[in-house]
Amino acid sequence: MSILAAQDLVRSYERGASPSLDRVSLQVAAGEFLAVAGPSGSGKTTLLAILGGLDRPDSGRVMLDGEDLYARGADALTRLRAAAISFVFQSHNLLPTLTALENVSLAVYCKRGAAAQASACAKRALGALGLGAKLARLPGSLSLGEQQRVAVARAIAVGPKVLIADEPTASLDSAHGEQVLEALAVLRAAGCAVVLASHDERCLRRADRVFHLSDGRFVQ
Amino acid sequence: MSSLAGVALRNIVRTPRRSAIISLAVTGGAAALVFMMGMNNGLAELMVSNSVGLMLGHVQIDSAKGERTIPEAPVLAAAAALKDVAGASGRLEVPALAGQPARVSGIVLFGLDAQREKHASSFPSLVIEGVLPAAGDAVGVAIGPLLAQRLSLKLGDWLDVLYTDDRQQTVGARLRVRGIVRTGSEDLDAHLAVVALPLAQRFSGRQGAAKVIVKAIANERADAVAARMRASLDPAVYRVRAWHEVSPFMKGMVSFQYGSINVVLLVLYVVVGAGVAAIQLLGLLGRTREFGVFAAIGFTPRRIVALVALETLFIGAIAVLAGLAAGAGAATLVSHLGGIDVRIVGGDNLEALIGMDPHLKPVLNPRTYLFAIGLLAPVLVLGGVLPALRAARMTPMEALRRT
Repeated sequence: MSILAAQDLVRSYERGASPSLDRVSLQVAAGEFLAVAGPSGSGKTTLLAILGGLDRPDSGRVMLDGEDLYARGADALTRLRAAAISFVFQSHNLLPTLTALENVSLAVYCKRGAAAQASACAKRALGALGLGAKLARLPGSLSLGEQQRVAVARAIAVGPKVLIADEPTASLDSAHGEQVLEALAVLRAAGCAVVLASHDERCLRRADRVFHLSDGRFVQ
Repeated sequence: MSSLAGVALRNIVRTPRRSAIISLAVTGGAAALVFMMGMNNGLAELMVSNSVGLMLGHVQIDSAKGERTIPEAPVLAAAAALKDVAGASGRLEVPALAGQPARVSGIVLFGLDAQREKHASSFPSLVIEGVLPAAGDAVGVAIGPLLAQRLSLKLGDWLDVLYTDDRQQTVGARLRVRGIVRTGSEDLDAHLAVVALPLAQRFSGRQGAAKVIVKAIANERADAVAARMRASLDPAVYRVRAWHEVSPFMKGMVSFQYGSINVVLLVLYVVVGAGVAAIQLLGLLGRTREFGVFAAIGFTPRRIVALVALETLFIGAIAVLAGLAAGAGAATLVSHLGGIDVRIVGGDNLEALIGMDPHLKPVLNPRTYLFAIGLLAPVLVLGGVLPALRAARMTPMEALRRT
């Protein structure tokens, strides 16, 4: 039984141009680790954004636990996303005015609504990724690798059903990259499906399945 | 921290430059609005003051039955009993001829009480030479400069006058020139001859005064003073009218000028409002990507708008209060320094302002502050919340693609 299923996704950014995604379908089961590989511009980020409820496809459907994500209105989609899906962006996308702890706990708060619990969860997630000493630092004062780990902590702290990550280890050295992959493994063990786009061989090796995307289509 | 207000406060405090720029724009806008509205209020006050200051008075009392005179003592007593009254004075006019047979001028002998006029009108300030005749002066007269010029008179000279007494007899009298009074009005300066009220009463053979003018402590109190005077005087004997009832034309002129200036100010208000909104917009349009992150981690569009509205409320409240205080401070300072002399920025012929106060002072009242807040509030909402609404309508990915 798949927890996340995409069916015939099509997405174009410019009228008349080749679509960034062209009739892409896939299914991911709970606890499964699916990797998407492909050259730059192949449509990986577009696919992940649509799977994560962050961008609407021109056509096709994304089903989360049997429910069509994009049949919902904006508010309902946001609530569902906050409750079930986490996203790790390639460019971190931390809120610049909030500390590392605040960035993570705000995301947890959006899902659970209890401030004290959110802070505790956030501290645990940041600690697991080696950032326990940098809770009060603003993103601007963290290295790129540290920012990436805060972004990963934000994603795993909420305890999602589906985690979608776009090049989560791209700016990390091998030790910290392993740390992130370990954290993802813990999530998988708890039943979370992971869909990840990466060029990193370490990531691809750990995946249950690897899809190759080229010009918006899966290829063998 | 997780509360919306907490996030809003952090956004404000941790982006000090952005917050300072928006705050300064709002503060400057509020201060400019308060000061400009204060100046416009002051201009309206000045127009009324100058209109009523010489001849009209804030309130005028004359005969209800069309009699030529009224008993003035009850009117003066009623005026003295009111705390909103600065002064009151009776006046009586007697038509006359003046000069030598070769050079005769029609004049008006204008009887007034020089002492009372100090508190009731701007007459005493019009004396450019000598003095106004005192109450006990039985031969003194103060004349306009054009009359003095036409009759070749100077202080101490004698002015021969012919008038008609109550028995319709033509009577001659000699008056000594005690002062020169310049009103700025060619008509008055050529025909006015001020004498003591008792002398005008003696010439006309009538007691009392043709009218009593009352000066209120402030223009806005004119109607209240008129109402109270009306209540305390016998309506069968006295007709009490506020200045705008005596001279609807003057009222119309003041309203016309006030309205005309408001049209000009409206343009300035729009410019100030647009400036404030533009700076806010610039600050917020650069945050589209940030709003995308908020949306991605679970902020609903409504919550993003609420966040920006809270930030706008926090910054706006402090900045508007600061602006109101700054505007009030600037207005108070200008008033304290004596106001702005409009002759400095005026054109030619400003000598016509003789006898009128040329100093424009800002006047602030609660309506000024409320109007400034009422004007800025929609600007802040438009400039602050609309960009957030726009960002909230995008998908998170669209917002994140914006730089």
